[in-house]
Amino acid sequence: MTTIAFLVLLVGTTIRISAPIAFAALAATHAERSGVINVGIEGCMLFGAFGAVYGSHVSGSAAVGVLVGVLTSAFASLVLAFFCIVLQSNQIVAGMAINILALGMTRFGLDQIWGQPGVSPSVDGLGVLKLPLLSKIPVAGESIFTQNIIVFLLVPITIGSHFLLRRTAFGAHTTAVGELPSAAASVGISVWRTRFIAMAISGALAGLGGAALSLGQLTYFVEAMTAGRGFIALAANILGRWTPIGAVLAALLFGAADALQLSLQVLGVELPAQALLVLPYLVTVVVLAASSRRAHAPKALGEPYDATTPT
Amino acid sequence: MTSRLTGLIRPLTAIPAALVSVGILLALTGDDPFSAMATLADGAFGSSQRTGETLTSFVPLALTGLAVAIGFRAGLFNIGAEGQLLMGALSAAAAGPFLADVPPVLSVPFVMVLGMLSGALWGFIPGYLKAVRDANEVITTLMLSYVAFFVTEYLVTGPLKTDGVLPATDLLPEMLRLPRLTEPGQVGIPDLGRLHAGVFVALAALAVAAFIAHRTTFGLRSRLVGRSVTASEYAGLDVRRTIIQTMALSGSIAGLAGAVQVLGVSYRLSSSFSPGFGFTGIAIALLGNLTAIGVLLAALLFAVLQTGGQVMQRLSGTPSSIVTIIQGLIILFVATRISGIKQVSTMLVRRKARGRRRGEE
Repeated sequence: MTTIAFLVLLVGTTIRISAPIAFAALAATHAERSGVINVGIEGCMLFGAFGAVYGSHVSGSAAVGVLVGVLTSAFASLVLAFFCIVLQSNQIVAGMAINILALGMTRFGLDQIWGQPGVSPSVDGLGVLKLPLLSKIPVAGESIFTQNIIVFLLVPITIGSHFLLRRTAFGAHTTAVGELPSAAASVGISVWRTRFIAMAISGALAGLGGAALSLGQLTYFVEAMTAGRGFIALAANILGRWTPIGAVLAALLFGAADALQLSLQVLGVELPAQALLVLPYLVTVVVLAASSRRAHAPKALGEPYDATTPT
Repeated sequence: MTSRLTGLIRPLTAIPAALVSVGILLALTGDDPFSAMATLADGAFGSSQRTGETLTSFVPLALTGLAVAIGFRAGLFNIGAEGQLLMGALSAAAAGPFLADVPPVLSVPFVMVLGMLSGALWGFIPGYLKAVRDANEVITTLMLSYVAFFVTEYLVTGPLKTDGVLPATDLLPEMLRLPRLTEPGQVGIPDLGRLHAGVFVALAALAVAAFIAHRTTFGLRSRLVGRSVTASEYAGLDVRRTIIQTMALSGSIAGLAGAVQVLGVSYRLSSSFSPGFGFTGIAIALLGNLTAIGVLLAALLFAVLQTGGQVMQRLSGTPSSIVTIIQGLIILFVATRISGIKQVSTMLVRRKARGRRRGEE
């Protein structure tokens, strides 16, 4: 394989592999900008991946599947939101609870629905789309612009997220309740409602990431298939300085580590499989260590807001 | 007194709440929750061997629960006990075969210390990154767990692989294995199966940890940092050093769990070494209210659930994944703040009052 062909393969794979992490990273950005740490993204993704496969299994349509996945994940995120926002649970602990619940419930679901442990049967997956014109670009076009449909959603959703947070009243409210909730409340913004909506968006995006994994990259559900991607997404959001575009670019970086290991395997590089599989996790630790950027975090991140205090 | 009582309320409500929720789930899916729970209890205590098996799984659970509690008390969310446990197990399994000729009085403690050091290293790294680079330990500890998993996976299928098809290391020499508490066929003594001397190590670790937490300056520093980093800094504490030390200590206990499990139960490291001891440790630490005695009780409960759950799945076909669900629900319920519930009731009362006023108008 020539160097150029390898690079093209790498870029194409990176985009495909990054999509689930990128959606989840956007999920992290929306939640954290409103002041809620969504540690449950990993679990929401898993719920989304499972819901998508189940929806596709029942309806025979991958599109319906994606919708079911998104709704399942959004629901899980709202449950977490209820505990974090209303009951003022420790957000990290409650998020971990959602992750463990997702692991148990999807395993339980596999057993109840298909009566088999570990893996679901194959269902209708998402089709591949060749972007007209762009995919005709010689050498690179074919590999980069032929992707499953959900990958192409990433561009409008990233731009939409950027626009939502930067240019709309809701975005301003989100930033306000994430930075200084008492001040936001004093001018009549409902801290709880804003955070609930942000968590619903966050859950829906995480579900989209899960569906991109189970119906986009595969056509079936595997137990614990998210494999830490929700946490990699949290890291991507930090690296992206809590902005949608930054988070997605960071997700591409982590995806590249994953794509590199896949591409090297395709090339038949003589390395133990594990040395390659470990790359994305190592890269995440190294990048987090190299980019300490607390200063950019929303000021009220992780702090519950007591809405009963009269202001 | 009040704080002790409120400390008890949450665990004592979380357990029945979780069990009832799972019971409803089972009933909805057409299972009989009562017979499932009965099979589970029978699986955990039905015979002396089963009770022994339950106590055997208590050992790693108590140690990982303690490891997580040590971190959480200092406000450090070490959710990577699983990886620290694997590193401890790895070093024990790797060093074992070289110690065949060393008397057990020396070799057994040596292997345990080695396991603790490996776990401590795996806790030190995220601790250092947290203290010096402000890297979020929730993410780094979990990522390092995956790294530990792939490292052990590589070694048990490659360089350290034993002869044969099993992805596992060589078995430990007989001399190095922890003695079992009972041997089958002894007259007058119930056979406790695989229960081994490591249970005393776990109990001793709990006692030492309680002593460190309440009777040493390190324990005090650690708890103060958990309460408030800002206040600790004002008080002149070296917060960074405390974070690094606490994470290393937390990791060392998880590493000890791995080493003891190798020395006492599996005698080797294999691909299927841990059914998630480190992750269950999170639930145990929280349910145990982050205290040593609480961890002891919570670890017993989870040992019952884990051992009983496996037997239940084998005998009645009720999936053991419900144990994972119970675990998640318990964490969720324990995480709820009493102040949060009070707040909701305040709001409801106010809303009702407002409604009544409107009705009167």
